[in-house]
Amino acid sequence: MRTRWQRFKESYMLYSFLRDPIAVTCFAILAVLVFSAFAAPVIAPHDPYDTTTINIMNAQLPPAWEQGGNADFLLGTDAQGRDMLSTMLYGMRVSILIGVGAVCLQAFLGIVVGLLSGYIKRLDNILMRIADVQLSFSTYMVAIFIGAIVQAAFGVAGYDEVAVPLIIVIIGLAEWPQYARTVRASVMAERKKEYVEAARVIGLSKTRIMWRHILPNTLSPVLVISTVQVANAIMSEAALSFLGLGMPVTKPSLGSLITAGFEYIFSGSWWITIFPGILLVTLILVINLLGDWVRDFLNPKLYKG
Amino acid sequence: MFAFTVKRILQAVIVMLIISFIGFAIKHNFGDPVRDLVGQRVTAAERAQIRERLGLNDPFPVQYVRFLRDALHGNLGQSYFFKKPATEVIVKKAPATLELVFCAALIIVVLSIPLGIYSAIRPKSLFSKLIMGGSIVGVSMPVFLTAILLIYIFSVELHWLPSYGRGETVLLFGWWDTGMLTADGLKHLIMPSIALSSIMLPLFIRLIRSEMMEVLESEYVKFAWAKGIKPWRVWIIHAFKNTLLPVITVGGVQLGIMVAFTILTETVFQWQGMGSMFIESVERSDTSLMVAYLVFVGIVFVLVNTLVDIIYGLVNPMVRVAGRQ
Amino acid sequence: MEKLIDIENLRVDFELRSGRVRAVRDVSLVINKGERLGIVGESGAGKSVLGFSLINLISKPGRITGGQILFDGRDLTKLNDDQMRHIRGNDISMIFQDPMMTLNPVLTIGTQMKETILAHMKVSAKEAEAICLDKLRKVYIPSPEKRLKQYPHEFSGGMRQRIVIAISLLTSPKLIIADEPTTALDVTIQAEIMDLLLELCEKENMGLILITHDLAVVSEVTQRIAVLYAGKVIELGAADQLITNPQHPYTKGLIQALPQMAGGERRLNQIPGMMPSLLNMPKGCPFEPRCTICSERCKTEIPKLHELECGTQVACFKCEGGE
Repeated sequence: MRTRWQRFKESYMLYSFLRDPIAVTCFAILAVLVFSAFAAPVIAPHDPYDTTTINIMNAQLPPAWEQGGNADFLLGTDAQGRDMLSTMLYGMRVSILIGVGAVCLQAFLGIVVGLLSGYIKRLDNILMRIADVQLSFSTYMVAIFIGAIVQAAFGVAGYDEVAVPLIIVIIGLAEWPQYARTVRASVMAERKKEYVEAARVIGLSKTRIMWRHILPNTLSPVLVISTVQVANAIMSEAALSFLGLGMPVTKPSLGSLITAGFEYIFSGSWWITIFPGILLVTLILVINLLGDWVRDFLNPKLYKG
Repeated sequence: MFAFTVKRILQAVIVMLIISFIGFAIKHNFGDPVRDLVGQRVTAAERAQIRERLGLNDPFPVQYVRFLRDALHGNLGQSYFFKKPATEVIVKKAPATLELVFCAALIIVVLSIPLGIYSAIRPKSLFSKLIMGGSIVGVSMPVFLTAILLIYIFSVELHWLPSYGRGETVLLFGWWDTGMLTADGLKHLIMPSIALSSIMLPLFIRLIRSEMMEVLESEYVKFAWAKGIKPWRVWIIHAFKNTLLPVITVGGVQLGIMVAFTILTETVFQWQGMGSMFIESVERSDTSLMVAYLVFVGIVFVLVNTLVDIIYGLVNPMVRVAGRQ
Repeated sequence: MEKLIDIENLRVDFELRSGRVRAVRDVSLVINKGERLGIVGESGAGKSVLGFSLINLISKPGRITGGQILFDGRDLTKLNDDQMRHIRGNDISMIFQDPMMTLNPVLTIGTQMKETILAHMKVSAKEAEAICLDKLRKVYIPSPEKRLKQYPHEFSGGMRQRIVIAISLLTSPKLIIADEPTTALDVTIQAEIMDLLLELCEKENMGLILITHDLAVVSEVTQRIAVLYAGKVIELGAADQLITNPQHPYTKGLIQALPQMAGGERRLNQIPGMMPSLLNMPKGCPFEPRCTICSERCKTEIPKLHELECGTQVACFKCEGGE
């Protein structure tokens, strides 16, 4: 009996993955980004949250390789004098946290709804109607609406403390329909298969069938959309922050950094907004490319030649 | 077909009711109609009087019905900031957004169809690989970032294009403020439209390409080749027509994303349309205007989606016949 | 007899991720004008690939890598796409297996028929329509005028296949390739369609290549039968001869496996084993692993087709001795 790890090492998936240069590069880049983001407290040269170390005299310094730059601040400083590199690392951590958190929430909600919907006819209609309508509004719009309503309700004060979980909830609520529909489609397809019939004949209860038999088979499509959904969640958070409905300036994510830096490109301090921008795009891009690879791998329907 | 249409319209009405309900609930709980009307410098006694006059002490359902009735007559409340009826504000700002959306949609349709079809027919050519590469980068860039980059390159560095506002506009029919009839207005339209189309365009290219590639593998396309039909006819009439259906369905849904993105784009370019108006109303706690926008957008969505569904029903012969039976 | 199509040493390879697979190995066949040939074999034997290779429509990543196909004085393997296009649907028509998948769901029957005519013949739209109606009548479809405006899903399976056959007749082709034309249809309809094909071929003096796995069907309709195994022709002979007096052990096994031959026994006769994977072919005769009469020579040498006294050609060392 080979262990799971041994089986994975020998699996076709790993073989195929290692042969694809794009997939490997993206994974490497992503690993570096995620590691640096979470190791930020250790590897960042400065602490952007410690107001005592920030000197307004250092504001708007260009990157180290340009004239007027300072080797201490490798990528320059922003309008308050905070080091760009450090702020970006912490910001990336926030973005990733929110992205993954939101996806976990959406997946949980979506899978539960999808299972119920696929298995219980009476709930199906209502749940799917809601999902359809929500989808037709597009998840961005729903997230913006909910964000706006929350802001109107609670005002901007007191927002800081709950910002991260709140945004996770907002995006999670906005995006669950995707998961619900995917899972439901899988459940409906699996239900018709004979092994479910066989399980029922043996006398297994509905919940048991749902949990132990159908659920594992629906995980493959869930995995496929999960990678893309993380990228989407990060983008949604950036959009919300840009509109002022997301992370506050004191605890910035990459999105709010870009927003804050925008006005300064007219006065020449382009790095304040461009560097976080490049980092954000790179992060989303590698996740999307990996997601594409996962989807292509699990869906060999189309001969790619 | 008739039954199908009726069902869709009924669904649309139900959804609109739900939207209006949510909108009203927000307004009821977080809005302050008294302040909207007369500002903040009123005594408590006057406030109480006005509240009574406006019927704000009536039970919730009564107020809701009143809200619906007003809405049907085009009255969505008063904007606190603009001191004007919300509907009036929205209508004034609408042309700006609509022109922007129109231009972006034009770019998307004109570019995505040929590029999508080409990359499906010749998937391994260098050009196709470039298109796909460009597409995935495009999809990974948030709209506002594209906008910022465009501004940085074309306004700040090259000074070719203006970075904010609509430029010179001309008044058509007495109320439609158009920027499309002046050279200056058109210059202002370029970057925002490109930014707005930047995520949808690659999405459509990829969609058309993947649908088309699947259709090209189908038996009936193979049969068309076996009959010796000319290539362009096989690609356009046999293959593309079959990709149109799923593309329309998905395309209709993308409208929602488009509207969300107008909010982002308008904010970056300080484009005086409905999108930036919405954000400003949130910042200013102008609840009436905010709700008015929500309801307005909700209605537009529902209308467009219903229309798309009905068009799909007309275009797809299988749905048509099934409806008859 | 005048030669219609002369296939010589045809080779078709597929370049897969796992290696190169030879789906058709040195196949040589001759079909004369108006003659009906059946190509029989299991799934994966290469029959469909052979059929498609005649009009150069093999799905990628397959390619013709050797041999020639002589038709009308030209080698079809050497023609470019445009030249091939003039032959497809014109001189050589093809009928596919499942008519629901073959007809384009969003185009009317009329469109799909007229476009075939207009692609190959210089006639007016009205004349094209007249030809369509004529062929629809030939396949016994009632009220043809109404049918032209209808969509494929409005017809039953049998009717659809008739329409497909009608399409194949539009340009009065010299040869029809029918790839499993009745497999997707109900058993009751199968006989009707086969009778129709037979009748049309005889009337219009068209050549027919019938590709199928169904021995029963092929024996009724064709004059000669070629048995394909792992991409090779292992027996070729007159239809009645082959059925009543099969030579190759594989053909014998096939005939024995027919339900009619079980002779009241409860178990059907089977050929033990499976066709080898085309990626991993035995060095000698491809049938050797399953053969009951093989010798050492069969393990290392590939037998070629050898004509016996009765006229049948067999690719088997044991059979060359004549039995």
